[in-house]
Amino acid sequence: MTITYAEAIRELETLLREIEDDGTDIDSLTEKVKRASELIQACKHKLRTAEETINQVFKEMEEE
Amino acid sequence: MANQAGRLQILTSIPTFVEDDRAMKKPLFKSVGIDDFAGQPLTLFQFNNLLKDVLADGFPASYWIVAEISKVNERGHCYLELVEKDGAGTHAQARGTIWSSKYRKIAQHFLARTGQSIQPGLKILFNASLQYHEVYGLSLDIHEVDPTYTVGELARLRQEIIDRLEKEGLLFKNGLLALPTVPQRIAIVSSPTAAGYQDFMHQIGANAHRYQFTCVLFPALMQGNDAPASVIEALRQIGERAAEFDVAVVIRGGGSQNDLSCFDHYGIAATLAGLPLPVLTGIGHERDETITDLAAHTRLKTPTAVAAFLIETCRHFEETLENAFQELMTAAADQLIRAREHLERQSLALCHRAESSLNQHRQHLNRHHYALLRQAERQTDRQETYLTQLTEKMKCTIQNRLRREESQLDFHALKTSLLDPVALLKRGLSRTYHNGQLITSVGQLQKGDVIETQLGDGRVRSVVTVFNQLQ
Repeated sequence: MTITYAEAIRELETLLREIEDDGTDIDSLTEKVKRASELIQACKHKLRTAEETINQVFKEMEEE
Repeated sequence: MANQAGRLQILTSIPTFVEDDRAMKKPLFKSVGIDDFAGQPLTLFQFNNLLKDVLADGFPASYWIVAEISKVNERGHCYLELVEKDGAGTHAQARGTIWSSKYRKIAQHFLARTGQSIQPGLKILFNASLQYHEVYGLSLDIHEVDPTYTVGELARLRQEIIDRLEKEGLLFKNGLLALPTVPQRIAIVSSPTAAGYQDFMHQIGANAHRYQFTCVLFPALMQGNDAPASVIEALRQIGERAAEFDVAVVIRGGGSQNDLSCFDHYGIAATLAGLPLPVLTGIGHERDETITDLAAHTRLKTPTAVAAFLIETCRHFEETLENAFQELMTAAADQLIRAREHLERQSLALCHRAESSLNQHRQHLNRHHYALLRQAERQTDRQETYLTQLTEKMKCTIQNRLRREESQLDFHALKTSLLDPVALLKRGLSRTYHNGQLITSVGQLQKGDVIETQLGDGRVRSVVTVFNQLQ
């Protein structure tokens, strides 16, 4: 997935506004919810791996 | 004749040297008996023979006489001009002869004792008898020469010169000059043909240290009567070119040991003393120093020794240089060692300082690292919280939205159910038709019209009787 965390969050916020808006039809609502779920999963994954990556980087620095 | 006797008296008037006092016992003048020839003149020959007899009788023995040699003429026999001088000039003169039979022995003995040959300028004590020849006149027949007198006389003369030089401040004047540290430019007073000069040039040219010397020869006669004037002239020329030289040398040698008296010369010593250059002598003799030697800066025995001395002086300077260089090297090496030690200490200190600085930086970095890590953690926590909030909000929003749609649907369903005609009929509402047409207004009917009413469960027919129109 090439989308960045910030982009994902921005898209999530947009989706939230669109879902709140009653003008959106139900058919596209399902698509949007599905998309939001994907984004949330991706962000969660990024958050988990980010911490690990940061720790790894500092570990490497200490080893030098 | 009295006058003649007086002159003879002078010749014999030094009692000390009168060996044979027979001369005193015998009458100095014997009358030959002039009267014997009275009235008849004598021929010169007769007279000279008479004189000869008188002299032979008057001077029968030999006498010890002191005189100065003014001329020497060697032709097998040795003919001498003998003089005696006072302040004004010559005041006695005679000829002397040493016959060849004796001359060689006398000359050798004289040379051996005095170091001089029989030559003009010398004062000698000699034993002689008077000879008179009718043709050649008076001469002294020298039997013996006592060199002891000449030795003493020479010593006295020499001392006179030394005293004079000393009094005039010339004796040690040259010796006070400083010998140049590196005497390489040499003015030479010598004879170009002298063996000593060749020895000197060979020695100085072939020195083992390969020092380069610049030698300029000022040729001079190094022996004989003309030597002093010649040497003085050479020294004078050197004096004019003194700036070109470091040192002057007077050398001769390889020849005979005699004839050194020319260097016991006031003029040479005085000229030498006046030179601004140190003068080294090597006039080749083992005997006493000559006055030239005394007045010189340094006296050496031979020309070879002079060359060796100059080379050694240069060598000494080179050794000084070498020692200085050695000291310099040692000092430099010491400095180098000290500098290296200093550098090592410095580098060690630097190393320690760098290490502690590095540690400080590492600690600092670690602090930053942990701060960053905490910051990153906080950031991820915040993001997580936000994401959770967002997710929750998303869920809520979706549920709300779905709920709203549902109630909308319910509303639609209710509305739909309310409008259902069957249901309406069941709830009591009915529809009226007249001639198959649905009646929606009173105006469509008149009294007496038969109308059909549809109810929920069937139809009824009725006749219109009352007619009320709503206003």
